[in-house]
Amino acid sequence: MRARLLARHRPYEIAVLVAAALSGVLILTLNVRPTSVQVSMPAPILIAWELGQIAVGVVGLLGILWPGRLSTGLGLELASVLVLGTITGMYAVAVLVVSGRNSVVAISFMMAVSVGSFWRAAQIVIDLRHLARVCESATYEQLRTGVT
Amino acid sequence: MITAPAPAAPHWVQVALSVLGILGGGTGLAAIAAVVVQRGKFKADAADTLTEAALTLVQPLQTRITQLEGEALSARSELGTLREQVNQLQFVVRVLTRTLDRWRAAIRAPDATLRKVRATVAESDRIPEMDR
Repeated sequence: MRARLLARHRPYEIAVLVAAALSGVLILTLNVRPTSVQVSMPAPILIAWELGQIAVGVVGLLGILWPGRLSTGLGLELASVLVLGTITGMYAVAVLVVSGRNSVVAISFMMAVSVGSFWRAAQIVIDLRHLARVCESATYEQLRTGVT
Repeated sequence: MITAPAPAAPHWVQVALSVLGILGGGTGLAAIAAVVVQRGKFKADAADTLTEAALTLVQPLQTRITQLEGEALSARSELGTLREQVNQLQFVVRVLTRTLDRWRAAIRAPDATLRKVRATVAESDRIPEMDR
């Protein structure tokens, strides 16, 4: 219930995470890679980049829909968006270097996803700080009476 | 599986992307590790219930609701008082109109005399309806 409530307000994030997982799976199953990425990353990094997409999608969605502690879910999501921002940033740099100004649109969108991911990561860090402080100072009953 | 890199990409891009990737992946793993290590910091029940964000959102709303409920109550009672006053005023207006009509009729009567008019006025002074 809570997870669904939280997830409902983040359509972009969820869509991007699903897209990342799908993209990673498709890259591996169809064995196709963007040339820009292929020429600008060494082989091990490239493999990590591909697997990272799947991991990001799975871990991120897992974190958002985590049924247990909120802090654990947020932590998983934090890791996911950090890596997502890195992956999209790497792709944007690769496209920028290989295709230059011909790919303004792709670079813009990829950079937007990257910036958004790091933004979300910062939010989660702040939220986790608050959460830790609340857990230190308040008891469960206080928290509950604050709401109901 | 992976074809040899074409010569198009300069070497520094590969280095930069590798560094970027390792940094990003490292922070991601570090985040997971940190959450695993710091699990004790978050009490299970409290963390399960809410975040501070939820608290800060809900509390002002609650105060606002209480405030609005109070305002609605006072507005309703004020409306009742005003309706009562309007009723009284309507009644007074009706009585006054009737008195005025009677006086006018007494004055306009073909056989009107000062004495008759005075009698009519004196009579309406005693109309009990006005003693409200």
